[in-house]
Parts: sequence; structure tokens; C-alpha cells
Amino acid sequence: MEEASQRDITRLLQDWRKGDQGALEQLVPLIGRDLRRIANQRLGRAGQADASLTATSLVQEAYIRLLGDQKVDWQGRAHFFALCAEIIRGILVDHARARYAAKRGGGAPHVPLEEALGVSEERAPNLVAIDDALRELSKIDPRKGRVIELRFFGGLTVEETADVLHISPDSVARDWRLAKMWLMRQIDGAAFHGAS
Amino acid sequence: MAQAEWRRVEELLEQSMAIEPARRPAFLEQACAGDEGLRREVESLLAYEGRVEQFMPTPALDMLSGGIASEPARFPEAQEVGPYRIVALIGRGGMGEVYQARDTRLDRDVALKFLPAHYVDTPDAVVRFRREAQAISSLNHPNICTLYDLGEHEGQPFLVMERIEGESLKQRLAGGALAVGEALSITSQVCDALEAAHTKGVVHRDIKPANIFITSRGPVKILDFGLAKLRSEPQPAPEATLDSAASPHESTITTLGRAMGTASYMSPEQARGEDVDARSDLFSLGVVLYHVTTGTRPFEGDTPAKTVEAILASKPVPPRLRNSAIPVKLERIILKALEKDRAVRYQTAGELRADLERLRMPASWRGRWLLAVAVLLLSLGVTLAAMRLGWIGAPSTTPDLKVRQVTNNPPEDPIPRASISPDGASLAYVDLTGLHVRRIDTGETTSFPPPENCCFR
Repeated sequence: MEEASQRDITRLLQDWRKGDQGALEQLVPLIGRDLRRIANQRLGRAGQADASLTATSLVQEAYIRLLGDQKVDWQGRAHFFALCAEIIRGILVDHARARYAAKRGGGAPHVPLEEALGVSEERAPNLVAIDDALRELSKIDPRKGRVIELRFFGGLTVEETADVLHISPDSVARDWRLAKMWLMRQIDGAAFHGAS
Repeated sequence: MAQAEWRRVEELLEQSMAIEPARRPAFLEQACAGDEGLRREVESLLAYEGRVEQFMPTPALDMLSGGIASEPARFPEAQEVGPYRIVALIGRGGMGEVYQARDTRLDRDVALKFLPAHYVDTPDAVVRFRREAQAISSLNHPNICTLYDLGEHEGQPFLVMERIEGESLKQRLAGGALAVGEALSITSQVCDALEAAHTKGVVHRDIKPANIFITSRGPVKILDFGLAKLRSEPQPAPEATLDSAASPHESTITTLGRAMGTASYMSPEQARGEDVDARSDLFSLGVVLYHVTTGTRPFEGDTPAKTVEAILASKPVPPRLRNSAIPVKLERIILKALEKDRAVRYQTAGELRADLERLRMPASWRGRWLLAVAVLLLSLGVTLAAMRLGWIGAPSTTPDLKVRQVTNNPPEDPIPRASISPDGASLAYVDLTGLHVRRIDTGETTSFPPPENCCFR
């Protein structure tokens, strides 16, 4: 990555934090391209990731590749991670949908909670079901939707999530809990209706 | 469901969760006041309360890659373990389970570490565990994760430790080698901690990237001091006696058993199953230093046995062949730390630290730094003289003092030295990226990067 574009990303991150939505539109493809490349390399064809691939390491790797060892303040890092959460969600869910499409000949099936919980033989959580439920949650409670996205897809800690959303860690912990209960019921319900 | 309706459900849900399950029906009966739909909604959500911990136990990607198995935690959220209230399972591995918890007496966050049962399955082992914990708790150092207390739950002892946030060096290394300046900063902090521990007679025994933590807001912290001793204390391992035909190395490997992931960072004497001292930690730190600067480990085999063989017999590929950005002096330091014979290796952590520190500020730049200080002092003197002579008027009224943040460095790049110019207009400071002079009013900054592979301190 050339140095010029590292500087571009730093500047775009700063502009975005100042409220410039145009900067965000330029950032997403820049960061997304790189995250996608790293994730694709390491997720492998079967969608089975290598064991060292964690949300934190993926974001860290993208961060180093995009920003090098440039110094970005803590808030800047938190916002970068937050942005990555959204992009990682897209990558993982696309992967999962593609796998389902290949396996069952199209369409996103509704699955029981046991499978979404990761009890299935693949042990992977059913990201398609989770993503569908998360969309519904965001309609009635956007903040809880963001908490799930940041923590589950972005791997942010409670404190980092609190920083990004400008709420207290206690609020994050509460949202996280209630949102998960809501999602579990939603996934169960969808599986039930899908089966009937 | 509309947003407003959900707010009402959420409110009742939270209130219900705050009271004991037996009293919930009566509460909801009253709160819903005949609104059956609302009540069903709340109750259907409450039904999932018990499974909330199993759902999304780790980030999605970590579940896919099996970073932490998705089996449920031993202790659910909110369970009381003595005076500690469990918040969440934050880690699981060969060294047991780690929970984030709240110390309800002191109202602070802590980490609880439950060692695997086989560490503490005999009265002897428990005694050893306590003795070791005592030694660890005597280590009070900013770069060592503090041990607060020892607890016991249903006969199983656990450690109560300082809760730290950030990432391990292992995670950081997923992105490849680190910049030389950062590598030096991290390893000299580890050296500092080792120096303090070794002075008290505590040897870490398991220095590796997974045990070195880069906190999100501050210094590097070393985890799991001395715990490896519990694992390596001689125990009559049945494999070792049955396997009498195996070479001594083989039996060491067998006894080390589950901890095989750490073989790459073992010292030769450790690999041979001999007694270890402080110098063993310095060898392991040498392996870490090699790894962070080159992005690869110096001794690597397809199997743990081959790795051990390499540690005992192979010469590491010179670091500069893997990364030409490594200064010659640093290569020498790394190779000295990796000497197989501990008598010719670094003898103390202080010795290694001194060498690393010298590298962080090369002699030629130490000279220039002194020059810079001299210039600053001289200009201060000139200003003071000018003020005395009345050329520059000292402020006649008490200035209106305000606290202002002038720099905004991230925690991993702190500012070790800074000075405000005599006229109060500029701030001169150094960090990993160089020496900077910043206009305090406009923020305009002139920076002088350090020479390649060096940094100011």
C-alpha cells in the first residue's frame, strides 16, 4: 500500500469523525477491499477459517496494511474498528449465504436455534439466520442492532463499543443481553414459521 | 412491532429480570394490567434468559475459526463466586478458563482464572499452587499483571487478577513482523518486568507472545507469572515410565503433553527437562524478539519433537536474512539471547535491557539530543536574562490558568519527554515517530523523524 493512500485513509477517518458522511462513502470501499482480500485468503474455499483468524486479528491486519504504523488516536482506532465490524458482517454473511446457496440450491433457509447457536456439526453459527434477525432488531431498536454488530462481528470489547456509541459500558452490557434474548427468540420464531 | 411498543416490552423485561423468577408472574400480572399480548411478549423473551451466555459467546469470526470453542461457560453470567460476580467468560485455553468478574466488596473489575483440574488435583499440588501464588503476589510491577487474591470454589482454587484490556502480542503478530521501534519498546518493557521478578527469585518459565499483553491504554503486561512451574513440577507421568525406550527428550515432550503449543519458545535446558533459572526466560524472550522482528520463529518443526530438536541443535537463520531492516546491533543482541549454552547467553534481564535501550537511542543521536537540550536551556537562559533586563515584560497580572491537551498520542506511543518553550508558544516533545515542535495556539507542527530503525526516548 502506498503511503499516499495511507494518509488518505487517516484523513478520511478524521473527516468522517467530524461528521462528513461523504468521507464514509469513500472509506468503505477502501477498507472493504482490503478486509475482503485478507478474509478471503484466510477463510479458504470451504468457508473454514484457519485457527488463528479472529475478528481482532483480521481488523488488526487490515489496520496495519491500510494505515501502516501511522499514529491514529484512540478514538480514530475505535472508529476504524467500528467500520470494520460492518464490513466483516457483510463478508461473513455473504460467505454464509453463498455456501447455503451452493448446498441447497438457492434461497436462505430458516433454521432452528440449535443450529444458529453453533450446536450443529459444523460448529459455525448460522450467520444467515443471525443476520436476518439482526435486520429486524435494527428496525425497532437501532442502537441494540449496532451493539450486536460491533461486538459480534467486529469483536469490539464492551468498553470499545461504549466509546464508539457514546454510551456507558453498563448500557452496552444491558443492550447486549437484551438484544441477544430478542435475537434468539426471533431466530426460533423464523424457524418455526419457515417449517410450517 | 413498533419502536414504542418495544420500549414498553424492554422496560418490563428488565424489571422482571431484576426480580427473582418466582415473583415474576405476579409482577407481570400487575404490570401488564390485562394486556395479554404484552405479557406474552415479555414472557416469551424471558424464556431465553438462561441461554443468553451460550449465544454469541465469541465474535462470529472467532467461532468460525474455532478460536474459542462454542461450548457453554462453566459459570453463567451473574453467578456469585465468593465475593465475585461473574460478568463473562473472556478466555479459554490450555491454562484454564478466565472470567471477567466484579469484586462486589471493592467494586472493581477483576479477572478470575480457574486452572485446569489436573494442575490442582492432589493436596500436594494445591500446596504448590499456593506457594507459587504467594511468590507471584509479591511482584508489584507496572509490566506484570497483578495477582490480587486466591480464592476457592467448590474445592477448586482460582486466581484473582488485575483485569486488563487490549490484545496479546500473539494477536498483534497475526499481522506480521512489527516495526523495530515498537519491537524494542515491547521487549524492553518485558525485560524490565523480568528483572524485577528474577530479583525476587521468580522465573516466568513460559515467556511467549500469548503471555505478553499490549494493553489498550497503557503499558505492556506479562501474564501467568510462574504458573508454568505448576505444570512442569515433576509428576510421575505414566507415559514416561512406560516409555522407557524413548530418549530423554521424548519423555520431556510427553510430560509437557498438553502445553505443546509453547514448545517453540522453550529454552534448550527446559527442553531437556533440566532445572531452569532466570536465563531460561531470557532465551524465550530472545525467541520472542526474533519472532516480532522477523515475523517468523527461529526454531520451527512440523511436530513438537522436531521443534524441540531445532531448539537443541539448530542454529537460527540470522534475523537480518529474514528482515534487512533489522539493525546489525539488534541482530547481535538476538543471537546472544539465543545462545544454547546459558553460560554465554545474557546472564541477567538488566544486561539485555541495557543493550536494547542503548539501541533505542544510538550514541550519535544521544549527542544530538544533548545538543537540543543545551539549545533549549540556552534559549531559556537568554529569555530569563531578557526579562530581567526588561526587554520582555513579565506578565503583570496572574495568568488565567487552563488545562489544555496539546498532544493526542495513542497509548502505544506515549511521550517520554516534553518541554514548553520559555515564551509558552511552543511545545517540544519526542515520541516513537520523532522529535516535534508544536505551536500551542495553532497546533502547527514541525517534525524531525529519527534516523532509520531508531527512536527517541
